Amino acid sequence: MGDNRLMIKVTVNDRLYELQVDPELRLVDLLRDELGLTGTKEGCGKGECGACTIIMNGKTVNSCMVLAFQADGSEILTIEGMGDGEELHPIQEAFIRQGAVQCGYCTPGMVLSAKAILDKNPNPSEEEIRKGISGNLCRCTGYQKIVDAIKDAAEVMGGGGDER
Amino acid sequence: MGIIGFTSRRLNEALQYLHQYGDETTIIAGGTDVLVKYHERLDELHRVLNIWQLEELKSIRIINDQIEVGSLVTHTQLEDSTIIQQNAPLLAEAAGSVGSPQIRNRGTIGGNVANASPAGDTLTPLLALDASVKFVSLDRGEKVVSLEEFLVGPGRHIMKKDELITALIFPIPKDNTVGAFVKLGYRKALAISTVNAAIMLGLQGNLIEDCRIALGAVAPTTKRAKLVEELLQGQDVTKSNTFEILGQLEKDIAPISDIRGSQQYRTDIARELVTQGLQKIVNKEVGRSGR
Ligand SMILES: Cc1cc2nc3c(=O)[nH]c(=O)nc-3n(C[C@H](O)[C@H](O)[C@H](O)COP(=O)(O)OP(=O)(O)OC[C@H]3O[C@@H](n4cnc5c(N)ncnc54)[C@H](O)[C@@H]3O)c2cc1C
Ligand code: FES
Ligand code: FES
Repeated sequence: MGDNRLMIKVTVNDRLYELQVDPELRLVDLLRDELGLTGTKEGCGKGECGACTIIMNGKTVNSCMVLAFQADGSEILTIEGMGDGEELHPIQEAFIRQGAVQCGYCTPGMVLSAKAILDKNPNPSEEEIRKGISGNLCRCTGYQKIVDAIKDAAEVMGGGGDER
Repeated sequence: MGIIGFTSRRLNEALQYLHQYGDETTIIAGGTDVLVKYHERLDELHRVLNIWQLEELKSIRIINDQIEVGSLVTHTQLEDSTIIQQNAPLLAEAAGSVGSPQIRNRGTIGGNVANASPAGDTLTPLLALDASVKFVSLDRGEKVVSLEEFLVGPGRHIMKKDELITALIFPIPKDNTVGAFVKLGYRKALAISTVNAAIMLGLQGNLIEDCRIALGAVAPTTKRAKLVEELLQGQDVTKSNTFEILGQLEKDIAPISDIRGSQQYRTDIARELVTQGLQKIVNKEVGRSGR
């Protein structure tokens, strides 16, 4: 297989990687298996559950729906890049505060979709929030607590500081 | 052996690659169809040509009296584009109804067209807008073919393996036209629609001067309802007998029964959707100035 590998450059959570990847490797596998960033989850592998959501060049994408070599030149944010290593991101704190995390499997993807919603509109309506997380399935919470958490985060983040 | 991947950075490079290896190559744009189709069997792909980095195919432009949408324009871009919102709101609405935010951020209009699913959501508005497909190969150059002729069956189109779609083109709708898109899926997000419909009406007052109606997922390809289109000409959109004409829709379509809905159900739903679309137009809920 080695011969068919492709050279790519990707920036993941502000760190530049130069890597050789097999053409059939998906971005989710690259993140989890080769870079050890296992916060990104795989559920369905078919674009339906959103567990593998990451932010790529400012947009949420399902990392199971992208070949790793297609990500060449892109800038990627995963859940590991949300906090600063010591403190959680305000969105993550709001999820905990509102009890929006149960089994936690959907949470990394949810948090990144939440970030995309708030990046687009720091003060989103309930409808915008629901549309924004419509690609993320949660089997535990029934969504209301997640919606509440995103509203909570919007308030906290809109309050003054502008970390986003 | 394993599969062979290649990223093209210029259109010409992609065409050269297809010229040489087209027969054994799968083009990948956003990958939202390809990676589902090859789920857990990616190793069966032979060559993969990644076109996602072809920046030259990512813009929406007005050229003379036409709108040209690059094949790599995503559903998100279509939904957010002022050119599309102002001139073809039905297409913006259809794009906004695709899958989920994540799917709309990757899925492209070119992929939707090349995939040629009878349920493809941008296909009905494109048919109603009288769109054409622009595709190109290295040795035969550029071709522009109406979308209607382009689609020949479920998942099938007239393109050869060395050709690549570069754009979708449609005439800027005239000032007296209004359009509507209506979709019925079985779950709001992420449902591949069971049936969808798009309508463009040219109105002289309340009279239908001309119209195009396109139906999705009721036939092997997305399809115009030509018989009904003809019958509707000259009718008053506000009168109830205009809506009775829609009873003829079943003659226009050949519904297939599958897991997502029986034949009778699809016929009924097609009628219901077109009725809703016309109603939307009558109520001026949609249209060039009405949004
Ligand atoms: C969870 C989920 C939900 C979805 N929901 C919807 C929905 O609601 N409505 C809907 O219509 N679709 C839906 N889809 C299908 C898909 O997202 C769309 O069809 C999308 O537009 C495909 O674009 P792409 O760029 O991802 O295509 P790709 O997967 O990259 O390509 C699709 C096909 O087109 C070919 N191709 C791509 N670009 C070109 C080109 N420029 N020239 C020639 N050939 C080309 C490829 O070789 C392939 O055969 C869904 C998919 C998923 C996974
Ligand atoms: S694992 Fe990617 S969407 Fe489900
Ligand atoms: S918390 Fe369990 S799936 Fe969402």
